[in-house]
Amino acid sequence: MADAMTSNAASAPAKTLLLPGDPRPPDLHVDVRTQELQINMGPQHPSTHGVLRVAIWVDGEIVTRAEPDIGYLHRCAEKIGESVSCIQYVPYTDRYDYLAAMNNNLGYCLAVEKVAEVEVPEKAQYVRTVAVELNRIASHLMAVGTYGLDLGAFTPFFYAFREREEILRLLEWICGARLTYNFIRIGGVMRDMPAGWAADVRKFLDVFEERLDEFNDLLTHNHIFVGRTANVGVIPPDMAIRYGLTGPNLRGSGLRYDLRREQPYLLYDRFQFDVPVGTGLKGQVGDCWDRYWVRVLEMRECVRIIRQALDQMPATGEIMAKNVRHLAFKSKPGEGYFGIENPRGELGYYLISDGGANSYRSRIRAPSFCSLSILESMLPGTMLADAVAIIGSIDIVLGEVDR
Amino acid sequence: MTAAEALEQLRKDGQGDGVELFAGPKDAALLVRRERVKAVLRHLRDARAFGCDLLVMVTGTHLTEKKDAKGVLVRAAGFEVIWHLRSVTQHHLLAVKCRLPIDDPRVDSVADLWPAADWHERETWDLVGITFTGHPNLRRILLPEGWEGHPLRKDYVYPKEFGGINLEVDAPWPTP
Amino acid sequence: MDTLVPWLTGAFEWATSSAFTFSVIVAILAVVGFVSIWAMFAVWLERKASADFQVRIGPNRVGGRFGLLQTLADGLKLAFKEDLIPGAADKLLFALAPAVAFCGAFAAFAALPFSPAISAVDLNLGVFFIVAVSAIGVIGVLMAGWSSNNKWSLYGAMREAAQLISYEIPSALALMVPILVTGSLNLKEIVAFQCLPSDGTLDKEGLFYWSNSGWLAFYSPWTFVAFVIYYVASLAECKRAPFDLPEAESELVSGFHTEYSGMRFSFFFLEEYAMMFVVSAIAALVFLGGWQPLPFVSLNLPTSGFLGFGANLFYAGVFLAKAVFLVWVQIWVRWTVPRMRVDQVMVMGYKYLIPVSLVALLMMALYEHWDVRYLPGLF
Repeated sequence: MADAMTSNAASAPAKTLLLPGDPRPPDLHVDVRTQELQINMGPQHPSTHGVLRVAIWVDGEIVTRAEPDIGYLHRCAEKIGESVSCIQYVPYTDRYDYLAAMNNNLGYCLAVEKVAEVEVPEKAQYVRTVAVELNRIASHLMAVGTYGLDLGAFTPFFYAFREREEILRLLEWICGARLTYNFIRIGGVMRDMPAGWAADVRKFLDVFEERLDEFNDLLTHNHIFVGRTANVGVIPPDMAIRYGLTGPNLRGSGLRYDLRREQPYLLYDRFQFDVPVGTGLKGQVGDCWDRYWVRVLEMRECVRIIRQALDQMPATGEIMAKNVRHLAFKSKPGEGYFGIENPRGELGYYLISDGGANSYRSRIRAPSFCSLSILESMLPGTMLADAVAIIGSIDIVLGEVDR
Repeated sequence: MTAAEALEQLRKDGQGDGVELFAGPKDAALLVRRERVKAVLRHLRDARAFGCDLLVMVTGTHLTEKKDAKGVLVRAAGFEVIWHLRSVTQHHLLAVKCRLPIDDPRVDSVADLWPAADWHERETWDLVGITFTGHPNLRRILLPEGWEGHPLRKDYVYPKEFGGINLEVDAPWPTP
Repeated sequence: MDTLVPWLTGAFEWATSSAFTFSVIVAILAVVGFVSIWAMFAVWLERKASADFQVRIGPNRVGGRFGLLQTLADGLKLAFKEDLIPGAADKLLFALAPAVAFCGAFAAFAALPFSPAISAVDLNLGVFFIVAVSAIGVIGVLMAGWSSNNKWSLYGAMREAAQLISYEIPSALALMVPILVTGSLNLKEIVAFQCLPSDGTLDKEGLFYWSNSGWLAFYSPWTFVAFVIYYVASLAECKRAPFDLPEAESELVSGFHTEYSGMRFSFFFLEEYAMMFVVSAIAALVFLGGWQPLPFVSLNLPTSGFLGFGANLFYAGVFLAKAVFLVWVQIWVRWTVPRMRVDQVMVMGYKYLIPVSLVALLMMALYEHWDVRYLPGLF
């Protein structure tokens, strides 16, 4: 076993053990020789949410150093963005944050529409809102469900998946795919809502609100769950900003910052909704429980937004912009950045076009990538089990981190 | 706050040296000379008028030489680094640009101003090959250690093999 | 066994030695058979129960609608799997570990009485013996973790050792409380104490009568506290959630049995389910009246002769029902709550369970001394 233990250069030089008859040290304190152990968490590990590898140095159960290692899922998405046309690139965006593919479609399409000056019809904007918010609920359900799984609670995961399944059914109905939708296109959406779909969405929302309470009873206020997450992995607001955290992670630290509010895109300025923030209900502001709780509360706000969008939606209308000729779409030269509120934070696409069908440069600002960089400074000093809780609480999707 | 207003404010604060306005067709940006980048970014972060506390991302672009139909140079070859900054309190987005010569892509790191810049700069070095001087740990992040070249450069050629793995697209499948 | 030997020597005129040998073999076979059938049933129960909790259906193909034979199919699959030993593992310890781990749980079965007459061995030190041998399992787990040459496994083994040693204390202290009341370590005598008639006559006639003590869990507030402490500590000893730290799938990638496959893995599995039964059985025997179906009323069936055979089977059925119910509660807890952190587990053991069990023991001793059961001065 000795060869499996890697001594760390930082650890104190090993002292020789005292033998009987040796003079005792004056404080009568006999050192137990301990050794730092370097362990690999991942790339195959149940709670790294994908192929993340974190090299962890531990002293007993306490993490002394952590070094995230990413890139196992790297596909050079930005290079692909330069070598296929803008229209062809939309399905690729599904594959980055595969749990919120609709939001990724939207982010890219909005960026292209900004650079290419495309006007999107109102009806299409409403349909986009409903689809995106449904997808946000699905993504948050996945986040809170797998978070329970990380902490050893298996059952809530299945309850979350039951609801997610309903959403996937609805999204499959509207676009034919369950995970990689490719539904939001440049200039509008793929097709209008099928007949009866809106009624089904409403029915789902009614059931979902009740079941969310059930879920809270099962996991959120569970004593052990609170004990595992409250006061663990506290991110103070200034630290969250310096590390570029956005979305629920930033709001969990108590900052009311939501791009849907601050820089309304689509039609978000027409809806009434709250931006929940972490208030330190169970522990300090910005702990794992707060980040988790913000996601749960956000699902309720999504329900409100969807209801309003369905109410306000015009019965008929164009769903695709007139001036987008899909077969020969060419953007005007220019560059632009567009950031939207993805379930994981600010998802931004920065595009440079030189007038061709392909974008000259397409940079993706992936929220998980930014959130993950905080691990290195958060993990030291926590326990091994807390490391799992912290990684789970910042809710990363490795497809997006590695791109 | 638009880029033009920001430039005005910068000049008022006495930091306008080496900063111009880059007026693209859509997004305007501040075009900063290489030596002034860190000072300007620090000022944007610290000055109350700007309050750009959130570094959204760092982007590097390889620009190739481009001439229009008449042979007039539209775009010189070089590198461009763009910092997108957001103010959480004042809700604005600013873009800061810096042009780097093609043979010396080197700019000051801002990893000590924003820890968030750490990984972004590593990624930009990894994929575009722009060196950030003063970065504590500038090594590959997405690509494996030992990879050659920077894929997002326009003149990048795909390697034929890496670590004993044949990377050619139409290479025959290895027989066991 | 104690009834089998006189019966064989009496009715069939066997020599005592051969009767003894024969009944030992019968006992061993019975225990082995019971453990394997129990494990099959328990795995099925766990899967079905967890499916119910998780809005799933669970096994429903192999063995009829309810998937009764699913475990058998899985067992066959495990038996035919390749037995992998990691290259850098300590081969001898690695091979030995599952057997050692299983030994403890298996040996504990020997001393469990199922009814007044059905037991492999009627040990005078039954409780002590079971508590002692069931701790052997930790050695197997430590061996497994160490020999796997996997850091995660080592972590699991260390956690298991720390946790088991910490929780042995409160569970043993909690068991001391009923022992204090009954004055016996013999499981049969402890059960017999719980059906003593209220007027103190020894050979009471009649099918039902009021019992003096009732089930020990309801004997006094302190026995109830002891029951709760024992049950919680036994969850930790069986490595069941919320104390499943040694396995901690999402932290330690299954902990000590990460590197095991095939039959060796299934032995660890078997050990876990066997231990679940052992601790539940002890709880049922010591605190919940063993084979007595009702809390305060004793059922007095004849236990000898031909009718006694049926009565023994009935008693065993009641006892099994109680034990299975307690196992089911363990399953229920496991699929409901998250896992605790290692320091929280230690805090719970050392700061809450041990002091409370000590207080319960002291108070019970005082109550016995004052000869009161519920509140001082009430009786």
